[in-house]
Amino acid sequence: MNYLNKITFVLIVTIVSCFPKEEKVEPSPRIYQSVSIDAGPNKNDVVFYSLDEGKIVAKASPMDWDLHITPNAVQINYFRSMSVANATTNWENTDDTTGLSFSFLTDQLNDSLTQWELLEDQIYVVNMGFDNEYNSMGFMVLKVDRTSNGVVLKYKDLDGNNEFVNEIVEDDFYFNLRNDTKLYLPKTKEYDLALGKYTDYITVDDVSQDYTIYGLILGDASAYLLNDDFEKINASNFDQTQLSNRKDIIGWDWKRFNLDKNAYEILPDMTYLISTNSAYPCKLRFVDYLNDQGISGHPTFEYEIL
Amino acid sequence: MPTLGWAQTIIYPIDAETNFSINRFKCSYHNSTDSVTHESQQGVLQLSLTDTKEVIIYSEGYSPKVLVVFPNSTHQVKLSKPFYNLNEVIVTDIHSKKSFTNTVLNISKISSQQIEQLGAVDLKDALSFQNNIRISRDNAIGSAGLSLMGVSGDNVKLLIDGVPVIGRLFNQLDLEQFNLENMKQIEIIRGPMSVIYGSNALAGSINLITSNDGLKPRFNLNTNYESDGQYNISGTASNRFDNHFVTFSGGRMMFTGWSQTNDDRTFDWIPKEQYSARFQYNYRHDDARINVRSELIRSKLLDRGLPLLPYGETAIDQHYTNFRVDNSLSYENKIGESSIQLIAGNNNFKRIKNKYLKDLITLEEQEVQGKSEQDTQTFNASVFRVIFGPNQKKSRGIETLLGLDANYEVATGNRTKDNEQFQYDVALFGSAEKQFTSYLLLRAGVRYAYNSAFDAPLLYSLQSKVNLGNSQILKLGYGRGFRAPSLKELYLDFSDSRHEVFGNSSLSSESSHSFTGSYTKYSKTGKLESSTSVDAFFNTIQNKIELIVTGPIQAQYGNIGVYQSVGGGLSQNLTHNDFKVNFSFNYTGIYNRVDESKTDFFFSPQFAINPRYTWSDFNTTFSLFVNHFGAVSRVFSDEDNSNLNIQEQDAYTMMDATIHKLWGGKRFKTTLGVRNILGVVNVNANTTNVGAHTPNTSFISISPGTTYFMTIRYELFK
Repeated sequence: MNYLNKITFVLIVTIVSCFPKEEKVEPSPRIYQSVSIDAGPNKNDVVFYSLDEGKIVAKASPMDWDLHITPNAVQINYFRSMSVANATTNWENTDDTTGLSFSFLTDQLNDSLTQWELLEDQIYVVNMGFDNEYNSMGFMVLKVDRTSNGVVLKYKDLDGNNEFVNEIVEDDFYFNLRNDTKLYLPKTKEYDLALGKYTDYITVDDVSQDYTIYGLILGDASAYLLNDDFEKINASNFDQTQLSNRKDIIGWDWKRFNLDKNAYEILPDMTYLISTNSAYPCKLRFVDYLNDQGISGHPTFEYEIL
Repeated sequence: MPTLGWAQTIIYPIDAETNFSINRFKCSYHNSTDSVTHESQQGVLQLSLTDTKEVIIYSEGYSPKVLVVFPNSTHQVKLSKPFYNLNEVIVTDIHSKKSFTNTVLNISKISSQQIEQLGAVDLKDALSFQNNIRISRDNAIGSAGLSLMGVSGDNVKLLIDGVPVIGRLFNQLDLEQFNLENMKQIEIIRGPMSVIYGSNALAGSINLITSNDGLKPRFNLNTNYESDGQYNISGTASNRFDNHFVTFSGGRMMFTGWSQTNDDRTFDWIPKEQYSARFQYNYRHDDARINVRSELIRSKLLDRGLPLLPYGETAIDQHYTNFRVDNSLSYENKIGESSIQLIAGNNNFKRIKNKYLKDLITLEEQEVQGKSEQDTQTFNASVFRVIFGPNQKKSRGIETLLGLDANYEVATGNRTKDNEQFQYDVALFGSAEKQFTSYLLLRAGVRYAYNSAFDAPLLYSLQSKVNLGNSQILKLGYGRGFRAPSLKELYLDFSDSRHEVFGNSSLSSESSHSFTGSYTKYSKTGKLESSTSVDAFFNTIQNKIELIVTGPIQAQYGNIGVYQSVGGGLSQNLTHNDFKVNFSFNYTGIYNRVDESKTDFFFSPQFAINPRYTWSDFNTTFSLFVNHFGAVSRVFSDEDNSNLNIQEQDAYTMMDATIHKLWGGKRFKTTLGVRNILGVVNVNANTTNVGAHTPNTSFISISPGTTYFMTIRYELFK
């Protein structure tokens, strides 16, 4: 009988064992301005946000436009992974991509150009990037000339068809080469942050290549990264001299994909100090990349004007 | 002379191993007053007996045999050599000489007694202290794999009662899925078995032999606790009904997870709960035998994620659920002097991965929606094998086996190309074995296969066993092996926002040449029995398949070229009364031709020692298990050989100690033990990129440190 008791005890122990229980955590108070963004299906949407106004100023599809013309630059739509190559022949003979070297212009070799900026009076073969279903959109040939009060856009399909010459008397607008229309999305001074997919040259495990990734591009704001506890940072930590004008200084690497866990996670102590369009000092951090259903492409950031 | 009252009794002994006659022998018996001994040098004795006698037959080099003989009768007496353990029947060898020393195969076994002494619960435990086997564990998916003779587990065939098992994760079968309840023995064959078993049997085969026969009913209950959080229970019930024998067995294995530092909600070794059930039916009538086995395994693993920063109020958890259903039917019979064996089996393996967002405030969780977030893969494999053995007497003593082997596997799932892919092969094979003299046993085999996805090479093998006299055995073998790319390697694509692994439908099959050799010497001096073995092997594999990194997040399976392993070893088994010790040392070198400029093998030593003493008066056995694994290095490439990497893994030693005691009229068996006495948890694994000179230190998990365990086994019927 004694044996029976011992066996019964061991049986009970082995049968009732189960996955370990865990304790509930206490919720933390939220004291900062919090913004949640929905990047849309396949993270295709582009969201423009103004820190000065504290609101989303526009939401667009990267399919809407191809070029953004500002008084200072003509930029390709980096939110659609467009890339360009300098044509090696004259306009009439530029009809294929043989021998061309394409660049996403995320980093310009020409120091006088900002990121994604095209040269004037240069014939480009433009890879129009990918549509929202990740299908290639083909190639066009483009030449931009600036006039005293606007720009002249000359463009055609790579096979020579559908050639247009379009003079536009404006200096800050977006343009769609495929349907020959201009449209109005926020000017760079009207937003601080734009969130969407763009292409960067990234290195993972000693292997580097261009890769399409979701991140944050600055408007006219400037910023720098301070690897410190967000909550401890105040106005005295703000150092104007460290501000960078790189549009992708915040970029994408505030998050990472944990291969083991098969999930995105926010990296700790990635605090960005930003000088807004209105030159207000501001601190910002990302606190999530998932929505409340666990789906990625829903960045949430918190910020405070210092 | 009263001849009518004296009848002639003829006795002729033969070698139990070779069936060759034994010329010199003696025969003794007692008559009414004296002991009488007759001697023969012609292989036969004629005794004049008036009544039934108990006689002893003995010959030098053989164990004496006692038998009862009758007047006017003929007796063929099989004499066995004393150290050959001829009772140790093996199952994996399809030829009829089914004992360890009779076979040409380089084979070893783990008996149920050794399993008990080790306190082993699953196959990983049982193989942990085997010579020339390395166990590795992937804690991220809670799965344990192995390498045999320096060749990874994707080239090792795993069988249950001779039926292949499918369901590999990253090309490895999870050894922890195989509960050892009701296991009769585990047979390990080193060397290719591709002629018989086809794909994946390139380095060797492991056959789990279940217990499915017996004269008495059985009811066993087994419980196990281990201090790293393992709570296991299993049991077996079986009974004979005339010619029918039925067995039910099953169990539950629970691992509650383990971490070196319990500072968050994650586990280094993720929790796992596994249920298994097995039904077996055995029918015997004359030479006919039918076996039916139906088995179900369900395991669930919980992979808790770190609380998401900065607030730590949510986390991503993953649940893995594996289902395995194995069914098999085997039939064997004699048709006159011919024999037939038939096996039909079906394996179904399903793995479901679910991703959950867990609210750590409410502890509620919800499944994350999205095609890439959830995953179900299903693999179904069927095997049909028939082996016909023609009458040996009509083939000049050559035991010939002719076989047909058909395999069909289908993979389904949203990550499988076009959601479903299949592969089949049909093979004809033959194996012929002949005992040429009492010294030489030769076996040759050939296999021709058609595979639906690639060209299968003609496979062939030649194996020999030479009795050198004085209890010495030499075995030499050569075999050509191959491995078909798995459906995963061919067609399974995996991609999400951050990584992409592609199958490669243009993969070539791996093919190999393997050479094995072993020399064994048995001896006995007084009460000291000894067996000494020296063995060597060389494997060369063409078109080795590996996962090749092709971009920051991209990888694709590809054929990397030549992979070779070479090695040798020494093993010594000693028995003196109740004391036994097994010692083995081997030295294994690995080479792949990724770096064309180097032809060096990376060598690594391994030694294992297992002394054990049985205190017979108290039915108690003390055992120590030590296995030292030397440092290993290997070269591999990425991106089409553009970058060379050297991975170096540090040496480590595993040591277990157990006390095994029988009590309660031997109805109870208790094993108490300490695992991993030296407390090895992780070992360094440095990866150096040769081009960039950037060493990257990481760790490989070995064990959850030192643990204590207790196993109690209760057997109702003794």
